[in-house]
Amino acid sequence: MYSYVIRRLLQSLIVLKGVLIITFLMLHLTGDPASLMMPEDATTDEIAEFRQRMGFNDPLLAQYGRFFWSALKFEFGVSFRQGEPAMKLVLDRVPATAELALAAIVIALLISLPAGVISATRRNSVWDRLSMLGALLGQSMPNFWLGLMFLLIFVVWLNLLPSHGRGTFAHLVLPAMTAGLYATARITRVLRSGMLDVLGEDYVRTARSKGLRENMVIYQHALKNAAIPVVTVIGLELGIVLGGTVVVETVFAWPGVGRLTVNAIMNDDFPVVQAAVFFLAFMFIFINLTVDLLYAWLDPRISYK
Amino acid sequence: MRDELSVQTATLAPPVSAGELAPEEPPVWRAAWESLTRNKVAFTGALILLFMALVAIFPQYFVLHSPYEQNPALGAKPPLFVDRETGYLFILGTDAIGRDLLSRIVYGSRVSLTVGLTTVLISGTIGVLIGLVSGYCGGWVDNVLMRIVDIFLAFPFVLLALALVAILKPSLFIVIVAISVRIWVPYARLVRGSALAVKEMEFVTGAKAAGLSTPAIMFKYILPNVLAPAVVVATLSVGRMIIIEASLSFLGLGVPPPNPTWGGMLADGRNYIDTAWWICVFPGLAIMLTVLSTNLLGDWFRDFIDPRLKGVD
Repeated sequence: MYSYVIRRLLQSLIVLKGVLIITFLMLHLTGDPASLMMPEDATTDEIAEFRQRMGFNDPLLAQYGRFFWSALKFEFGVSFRQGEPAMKLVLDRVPATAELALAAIVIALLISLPAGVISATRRNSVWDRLSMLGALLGQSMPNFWLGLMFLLIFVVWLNLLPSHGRGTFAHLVLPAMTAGLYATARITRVLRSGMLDVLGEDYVRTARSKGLRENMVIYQHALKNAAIPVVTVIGLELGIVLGGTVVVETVFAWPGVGRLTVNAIMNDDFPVVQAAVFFLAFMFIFINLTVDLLYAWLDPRISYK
Repeated sequence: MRDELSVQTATLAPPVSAGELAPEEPPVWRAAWESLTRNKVAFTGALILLFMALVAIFPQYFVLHSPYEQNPALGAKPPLFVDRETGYLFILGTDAIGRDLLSRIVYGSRVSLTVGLTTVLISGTIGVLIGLVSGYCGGWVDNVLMRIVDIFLAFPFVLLALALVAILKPSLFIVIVAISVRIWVPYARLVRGSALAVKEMEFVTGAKAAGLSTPAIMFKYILPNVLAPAVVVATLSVGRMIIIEASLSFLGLGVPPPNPTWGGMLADGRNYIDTAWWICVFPGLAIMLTVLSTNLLGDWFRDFIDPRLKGVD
């Protein structure tokens, strides 16, 4: 077990280092980061001065060394537009994005758990067809378009909810439903097929033949076992939801990391872009590592693979 | 669109289906056609995609107006609007600067379909090759390649593409590259897994004993046996690529204006959502219909290639 933990930790560190290299190289793709960062009307002299000041004339390896050591201290330089440390700007926005991502997963579960169970237990019923159709449509539409339709219906036409910003519970509903779209569709499908498999198992038949009430059979025996793949999917979806908030935050002007990053990309504010990309990748690696270690702890066979 | 898929079916399926699907071995394309026409839902999806492909290839036959012509006097007119002066009909209305919405949706299909297909082809090919090498060679090669896979996996998908497009300056080519940079990963993982299993099989040992070179074994013996799941993933992900492209365009970093893109139209529509609902409704419906059709066809294709995968996501 210990050797597995150490191996996974080492792997994560290597991946993190790779992430840093790519985040660094991204800026040098065009060969001249200085003109990329300067306003379009900057003179050649201004660009040359900026290049010198930022150290872009140094050998690439020396630049990477500086970048690497700063990154270890979570320092990615100062935002060109806002004059504050880039990582601080990102971290300030984390609570908003975390709130959105968690609410999205909670809403996804509130919808998909009953939908998945009902469509499996009443296979081919109207409910089953409806929820499968819903899941299919959900996987086929862009989430930002669903967000726009929510805005159109609940804000423009019915005037029920606020259109943008963060604050009250009412502000959270539409963005969270939008961000949870794909997770809802996917969990519904996975749970349905998991339940269908489990409902055919011997132990479910045994539970039924013991005369247990149907609800007991479904919720105590079947759902528990069908939940295992669902837990895997939730872990995966959390990462996807985090990445997907980029678009959703833009639709609803939600003051999170995604919107910050999109604005930074639009404004060529590259320290913020690098800090945000690195932070999100770091979170993804961290979540993955946690999930893997959790599995190894739950099922010790995994660590011997 | 459909043509692309059937080409793949015809060229890729035989090695796999030979033992599994068809004991009396009718031609694969005929089996595919029969299976597709039996599946009403998937067949509808195929017809819609065929129609979409025609629209994208010959857009001029499907429009009444130019997608670029602006007319401020006709700005934000609702669906079925008829211009009194000229008598022109605008079936889906006009956008804020008076361009015909239907024409822009029709021409916008070109970007969506091109990006959807090419990204899948490019990233699929790269991913399959990397997975093949990784799985077959094993050892340190496998280790290095799989760490690279992990590194790319850690990047948030849309954000990476956005940053790349911003740095390299938006164009159709750059959008395709920026999306492909990250999506070869699932193919590599999938193919590596299958290659690991296949290389232990007896016919591979036999080929080795017969003195075949490593590339020959990889491409002649391993590849045909690991390709099916990758092709299934590819067909199922065309729709997702269309959605990603729309997201980039929506955020203003897709194929640049005045080229019509569905995502770009939605970004315009968002600004007029309280006065002109049609601008942000119809382009979204076009995306949904296209993606839905590719998903339906992809589901059918998965079941056709390997009935054991039925219902697997």
